[in-house]
Amino acid sequence: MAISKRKTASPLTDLPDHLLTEILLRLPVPADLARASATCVSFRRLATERFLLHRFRRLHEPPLLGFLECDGFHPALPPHASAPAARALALAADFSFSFLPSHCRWTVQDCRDGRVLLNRGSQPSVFQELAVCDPLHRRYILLPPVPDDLAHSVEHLLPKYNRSRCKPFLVPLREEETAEETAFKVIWMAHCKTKLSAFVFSSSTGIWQAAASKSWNDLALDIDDLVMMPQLHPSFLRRHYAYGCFYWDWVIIRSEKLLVLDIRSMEFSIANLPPGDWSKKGVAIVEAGEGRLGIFAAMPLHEIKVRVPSSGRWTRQSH
Amino acid sequence: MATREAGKKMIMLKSPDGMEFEVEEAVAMESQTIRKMIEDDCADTAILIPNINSKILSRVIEYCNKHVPTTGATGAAASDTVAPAALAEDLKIWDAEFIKVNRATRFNLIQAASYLNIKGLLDLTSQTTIDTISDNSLEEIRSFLSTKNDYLPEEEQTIRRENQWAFQ
Repeated sequence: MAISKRKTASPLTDLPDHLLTEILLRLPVPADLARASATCVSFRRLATERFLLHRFRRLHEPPLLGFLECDGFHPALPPHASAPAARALALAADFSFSFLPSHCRWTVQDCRDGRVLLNRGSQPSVFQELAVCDPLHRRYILLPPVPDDLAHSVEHLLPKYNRSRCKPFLVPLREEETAEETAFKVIWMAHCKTKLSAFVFSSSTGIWQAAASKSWNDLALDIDDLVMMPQLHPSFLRRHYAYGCFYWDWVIIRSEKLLVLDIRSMEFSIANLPPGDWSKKGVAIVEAGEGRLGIFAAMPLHEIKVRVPSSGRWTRQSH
Repeated sequence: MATREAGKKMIMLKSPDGMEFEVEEAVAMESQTIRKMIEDDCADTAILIPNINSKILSRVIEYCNKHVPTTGATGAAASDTVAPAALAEDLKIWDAEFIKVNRATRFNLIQAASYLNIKGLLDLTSQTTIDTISDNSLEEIRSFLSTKNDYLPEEEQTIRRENQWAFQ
């Protein structure tokens, strides 16, 4: 490569590392960082540094690489901008989870920030065995069982023969919790007859702890919802996450209520959907920027509703 | 270059090659480093700026002069009379012209912006540099940045294979 061997004045690599880092952090997409790292050894050294990657991820929205369903990984396809990266991920990662012990019995429960939460239900207990893994680096952690005292606090409140009313899911980490690269948090939520309970497992403590509990009666539900909710199987509820809160919509039972779990305060509460003809096909709650919630509704509405929390009012944008 | 106006505090910036620049304090304080010196009362009437030669320092002052929030003689902000959007657009055009410099000057400006802690200038100079990374082939990037391909052939093959997705 004549051009690169030519002696030229003032190469960028003459700049001190902290300035090169500043420059690399400004690259718009991860692909640019990968390209920069391929140009020379010192760029690669900087671009693969944990500190830089950590800051880069904080400054850049992660690209959508695909969907992980029960039947495997579905990478983003052309013409989606992430298609090349998604294909590379599909080739590099092991989404059959063959690196887990006796992998065939594990089922995907959730995925977030490169982690996949799986369970296996071979045991008759309420709380099944859980594993969190990184399919790209083929690492995994088996979670310890929920301690008996915590388990007993809900077990007798669950309907018999319907143990799957406990749902585990991954929790987004706060910025200060992401220093440790392998950090993760899992919530296990139990829908009991009389109350909702949540237990949290944190990789930093390595133990399960009781995190939130609220009786259906205390959730300020109207009488119809109060009858319906404890009977509704949690698998029918769609879970959404935005700005530190999980939301479960109940449009499936034509209720315009949202169950909210604030993961900062670990409090359950109820919020109202804006009035409208919500389809039973469901809604999607997303972060709409500047702390506002966006709600995508399925047919026939074709519109986005954006909530401004400060005013508590909803504005409607049709698309 | 700033012109002396009544009531405006002036400050002297000295480059290591002996040049002196008299600038308004407000202009100099676009640099967070100098602002801190002034606020901490560490600055005499003249501040020596080490490591930044007069050629680069004059460009930096030119940038700060343009970007300092302007106030008229009456003290009213200029943005009262000019629409902020038009002002921002004007600055953008000015920035684009300002950064049309050779690579060595740009890298010197990056270092100066970092040392003097002038965020806008660091953004501008860095952004111009990364624009060359975003849309070009490896060889073009190396050429633009004057970086040397110091990978061993087999290393480069591995890197290319691993990062193939980024070149599609």
